[in-house]
Amino acid sequence: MPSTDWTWTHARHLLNRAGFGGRRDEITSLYKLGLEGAVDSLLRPTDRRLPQPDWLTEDEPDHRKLSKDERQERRQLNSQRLRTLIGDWIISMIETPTPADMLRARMTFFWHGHFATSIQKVKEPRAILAQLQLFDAMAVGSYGKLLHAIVRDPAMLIYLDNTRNRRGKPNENLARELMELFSLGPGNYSESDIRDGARALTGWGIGPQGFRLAARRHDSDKKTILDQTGRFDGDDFVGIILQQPACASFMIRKLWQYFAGADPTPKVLGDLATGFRASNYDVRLAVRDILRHPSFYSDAVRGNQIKSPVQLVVGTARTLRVQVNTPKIYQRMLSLMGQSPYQPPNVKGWPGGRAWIDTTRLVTRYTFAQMIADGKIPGDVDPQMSSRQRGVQFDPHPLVNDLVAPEEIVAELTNQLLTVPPTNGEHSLLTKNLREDLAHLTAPAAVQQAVGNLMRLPQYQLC
Amino acid sequence: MKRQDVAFHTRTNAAAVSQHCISRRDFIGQGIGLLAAAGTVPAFLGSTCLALGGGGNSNRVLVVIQLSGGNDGLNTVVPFSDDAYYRARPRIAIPPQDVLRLTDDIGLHPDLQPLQRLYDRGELAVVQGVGYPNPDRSHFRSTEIWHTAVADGFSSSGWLGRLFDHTCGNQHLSETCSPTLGITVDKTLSPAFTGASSVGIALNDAERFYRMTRLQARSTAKSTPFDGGGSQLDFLRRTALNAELAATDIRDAVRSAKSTVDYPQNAFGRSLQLIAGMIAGGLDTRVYYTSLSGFDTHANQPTQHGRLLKTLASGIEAFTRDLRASGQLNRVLGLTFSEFGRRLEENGSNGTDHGKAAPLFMFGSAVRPGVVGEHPSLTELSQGDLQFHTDFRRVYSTVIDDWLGVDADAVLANRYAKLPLLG
Repeated sequence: MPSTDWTWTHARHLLNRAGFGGRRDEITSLYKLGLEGAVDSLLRPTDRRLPQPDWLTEDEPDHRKLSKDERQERRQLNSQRLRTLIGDWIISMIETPTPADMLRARMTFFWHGHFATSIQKVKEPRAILAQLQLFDAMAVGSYGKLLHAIVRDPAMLIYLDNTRNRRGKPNENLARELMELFSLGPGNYSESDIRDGARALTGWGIGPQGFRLAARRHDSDKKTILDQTGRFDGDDFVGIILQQPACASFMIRKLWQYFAGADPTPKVLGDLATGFRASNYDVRLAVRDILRHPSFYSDAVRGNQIKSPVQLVVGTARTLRVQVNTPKIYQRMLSLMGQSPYQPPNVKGWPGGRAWIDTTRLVTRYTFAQMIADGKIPGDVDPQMSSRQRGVQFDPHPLVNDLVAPEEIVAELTNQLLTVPPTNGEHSLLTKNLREDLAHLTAPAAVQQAVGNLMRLPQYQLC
Repeated sequence: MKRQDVAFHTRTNAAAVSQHCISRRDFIGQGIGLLAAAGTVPAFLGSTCLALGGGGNSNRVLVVIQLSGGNDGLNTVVPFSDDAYYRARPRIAIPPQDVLRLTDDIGLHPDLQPLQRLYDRGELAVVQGVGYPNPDRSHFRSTEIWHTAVADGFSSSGWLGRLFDHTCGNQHLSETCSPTLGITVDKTLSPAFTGASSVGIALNDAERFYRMTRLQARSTAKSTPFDGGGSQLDFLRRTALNAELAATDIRDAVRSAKSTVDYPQNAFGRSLQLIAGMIAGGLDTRVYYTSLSGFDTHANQPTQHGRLLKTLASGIEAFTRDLRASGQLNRVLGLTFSEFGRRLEENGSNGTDHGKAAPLFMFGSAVRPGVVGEHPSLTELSQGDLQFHTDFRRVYSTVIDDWLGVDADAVLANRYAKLPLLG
């Protein structure tokens, strides 16, 4: 894109997609850097890390020595810890201090969706935390290293049954998904590649300290995978996958879809995939190329992505600086909208796009808007929640500063919060409602209602 | 009349116009004044009554139950007389004495007792060896194939979505029919419903769904014309309007149904109970869809599989009992399916890996009871898997044509020989 075409609106788009949307000052700062400077700045996150739970330093009890009751207690404790871990992760996305930290959080989440793992099967907080830390550490690192790491990742080995994959009795689950979902995509391998790939991964399991290679369970005979023959193990298998040209295309397509919300054209895909392969799978460069690409700023892309529940909830909470007493609120909302972190529908992750929306999921988004407008959780969301837990606060003042005229307030809110503008009819109804509310509510409460009304527009579901 | 499906959507029979039309009209009058002001009342608000009326098969209902994860057909409908079955599954085979015998060769898993009772009543059919050419062992691809009914390429629409598109008479976004023609009771709308006419409601709880739709009251979404171009915005507006219109009808229907039947206390039982309520409440819905997941039994299969089959069978039995009590059973046909069966040989983890052909069930008082087709050979395998002999689209074709009275060839864009499953 010629630098002269770079506008404030483009910067807003960049922040919508690279992050969770931005506040006015953040968009303006980014705009002033120009396209290339803006993208480069997004690739320089602070050295912030995910929150460390306090139980991490505790010794893990020996499960074999626990009584039945103690095991039951342990299961409850683990499930509690997992919920807290995920709640803290959501809060950390909301509290990202800079736009660059947002991009890193978006990429961490990308890897979670890509290498989807569910706590419904993997009930070990340490394994889940280790996987999340892996994604965070390698968010924009080397994809090749990440792929090697994932076949040694305890949570993944449990999730895809590789802990049971042994010589003479192979279990194909990991081998299949490794090629179909994690690297090559369907059509780029055969059933016999899966069978021999599974054999290469035999014995790759876990022990008390995490990953463990059980030599006795490993099948060290010859295998033929993707036209290469040898006594391959899991690392060799991953290495062979990374040699395939299909790998770079598959990953670029997925990254492009994540950020652009649409399929890349063959030309864009080809160019970016060639670069990705040449860089030896440098994700940082791939993300940079995507965010700088003129097609990424085309009309077909801008305003055409249906926000994922995480984009919607985290973005709203962050942009509006919403304060809640417990992240449970967000977890419940995300669950109803169809995106509970670490509970993807299956190993393929979340399909996204229009699949985010159906009648129930859309009205759940209105419930979220109602929560923002009224400053409390509607009873339907979680009847068990106490009234203290139901509290939600946000101060609308920073959004509108000292504006007082309803027309000006609505114009400012739509400019900051919507990518796709409201119709004239919608705009005047927002203004009319705000004028009425200002007559009987305090100004902040009325503006809060206006934000809630705006969030119920279909446009708010888009970015 | 050449085709029955003409009656499905175009013939208005004044006597058959249900009260839902009236309530919807009233609703439009009171609630969506802005719509009228915009001069672009979506055509489905006007044409709903057409879709509801008519003779032919217009009051028949199909209930699709998806068993997600790849149900092990061999331990569901057990070939207990075949030694090859026991040789291949030394640890997880169902012992012959536990099998609930249907014929001299096959029988049901012991946890399917409620289905055996349906079978004995003449309300269950077992279709064996169902699959499709060049089977795909990927969950996602195979599920997609069952959802789209297209096995050799990509399709952006689902088979039920195309059914609705066809019966709504055209493919124009601005002229679609009642959104409640198809209802998914699940966490989300089934991809099988994807189609140009955006028919389809997803819900779990009728009262909560109703309350949540009221929250959009102050939004302006419904005041704005659809652009008809299939944009994201159009899709969102349409979904919002569908939700608002359907919620009242669904709530009223469920409230009016007075069921006294006990269902198993699990999510699947509750889903079927809600569907039975909507059927008894007289909604215009032609297809209901729900699912039961967890069938991907790579490890420790026996416990998990038994539990799932019990959930399935006891749910279906309560459902049919409920429908019989409300006098609805004769207009309801049930169909189960799973994306694939599992490998003949058990794996090293007390489980089974992804396979190919498998049986499916159909239930209701309209089915021709019995076992359709031979059990696939356990010795003539394809890569260790059973070979299919009945394309699943023959089942779809039968259901679409013989049950719903719609031109199956048009919906499936191909001719599939029908099966003797009904009447």
